Amino acid sequence: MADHGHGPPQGIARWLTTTNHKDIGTMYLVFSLVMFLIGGTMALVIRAELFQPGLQLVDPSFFNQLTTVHALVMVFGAVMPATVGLANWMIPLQIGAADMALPRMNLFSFWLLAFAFLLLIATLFMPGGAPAAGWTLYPPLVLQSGKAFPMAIFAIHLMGASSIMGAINVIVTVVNMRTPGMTLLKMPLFSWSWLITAYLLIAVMPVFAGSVTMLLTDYYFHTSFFNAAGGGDPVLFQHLFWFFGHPEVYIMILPAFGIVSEIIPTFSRKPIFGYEAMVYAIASIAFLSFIVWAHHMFTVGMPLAGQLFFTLSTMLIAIPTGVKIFNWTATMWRGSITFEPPMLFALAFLFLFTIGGFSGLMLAIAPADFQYHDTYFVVAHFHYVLVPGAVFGIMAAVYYWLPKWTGHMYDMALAKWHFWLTAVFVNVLFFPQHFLGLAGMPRRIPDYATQFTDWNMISSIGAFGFGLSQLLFVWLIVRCVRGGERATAGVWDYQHGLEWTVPSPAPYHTFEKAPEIR
Amino acid sequence: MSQNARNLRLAIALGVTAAAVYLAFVLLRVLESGA
Repeated sequence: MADHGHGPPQGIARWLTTTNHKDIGTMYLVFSLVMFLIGGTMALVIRAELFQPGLQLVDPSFFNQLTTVHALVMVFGAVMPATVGLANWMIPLQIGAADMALPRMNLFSFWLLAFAFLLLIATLFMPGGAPAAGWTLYPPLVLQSGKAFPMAIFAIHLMGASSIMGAINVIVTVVNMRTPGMTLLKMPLFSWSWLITAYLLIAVMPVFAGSVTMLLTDYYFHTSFFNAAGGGDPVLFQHLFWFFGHPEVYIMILPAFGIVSEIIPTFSRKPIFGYEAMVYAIASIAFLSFIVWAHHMFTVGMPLAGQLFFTLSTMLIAIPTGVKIFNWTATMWRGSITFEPPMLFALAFLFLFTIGGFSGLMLAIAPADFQYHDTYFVVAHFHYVLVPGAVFGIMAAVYYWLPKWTGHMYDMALAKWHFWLTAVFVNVLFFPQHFLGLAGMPRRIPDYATQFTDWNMISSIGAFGFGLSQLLFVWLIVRCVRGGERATAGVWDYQHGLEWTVPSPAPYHTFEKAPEIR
Repeated sequence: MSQNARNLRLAIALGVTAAAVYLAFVLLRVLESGA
């Protein structure tokens, strides 16, 4: 029998063999931070190359590899693992469970992911280099990749398997392990958002795995799934990819919605406005994410009925999203608001994510999309959704729960510096890209016409400002882990939820006896 | 049924669902192409 009174084993063995949800959550979060820095460095090389027209630093082929790997690293290595890390840490604490339901599979998911990224990043240094067709991996271009292509596809399969196992773990934990009295509609919104995200993952990651398997057989076994010369259709890949790819966007953003729904009530000192509407809005967004995929590919040509359907279904998403924005705003209405770092990031999320949402509505209009498609306008749009959207949500969560994890308060002044630098530079970085796109600058190119120079320079300055500001974040986290003012169990003035009933730092084992929920 | 058994049963069901989605997309495509 295991002795449940023991602490963690010491040294490296702890991290290699742990099945504790807090340790695994920490590993996911640290992994995500490392990937954020690696993917960010790639972005800085891209922005340095684009600082002025002409070819300066890297050859065009390597530039294309960098855009591809930057995206894969940020999506699958930084944003998703960060939200999985938060899920590992916080879902058991929020629902009163002793651990995740399947702890060994949990550890396996993590190490599978780490191994996958070792393979993926290694392809950059192999003969022929990494895939260079963008993260969308469209054939036939992607089939012209070098000999490392199957390794990259293998890495993607491994990440998919890891994500599916992570999702299974979340669903089983939430469905089976809630403490007595914690009905689904009493569950904190972060756990809710992750439950729905996990269902999305199980529905779409296998589709992506299937699509890249077919790429592999086209590459090696001369099948013609996507080869027109053999009776196949390259557009089929785009349909399959975006049937995965659009829900994938929500896989990244829904946990951030959950996080913001935790933070705004705390710092407004009021319960969330319209809890049930928030749950139904997340579920509606998840459902709609399955029926909008072809808005990514209006320009391949489709019947008018198809254009109308995908335009209108996409616009429908604005309704549940609007419900959420309204409810967050209504939560703050007449609240006693203070502006601690988590609240600052949550508020910036509210404004800046909405900008990304609005440019998404512009792109959803099929005839207008013919102009915007494959321009920097699209790059600006999805970076607004993912950086001040998903990444700000994750940063807000780190600032919200870091005292609970480490037992120390962090340097508030430094965190506010980090916020303001990040919030200013993210706009300097991405807002000019709207102008570039509207003026006709295509995406995924290492060189451009001279009339695009000014806004590219400003965007690149923003990129370096943003990147360097993140060093403050790393420094702040390291300092907080190493010491600081002791955090209380409640940490903040107004708390809601079981995670604030356990001491800070949260003990290695929590809720071995199920807590009571009234 | 113990908690662990219930967890395992649900996990297997979800895993089978994921595998079925994967196979549906690949196998149906193979069958459709007459391979």
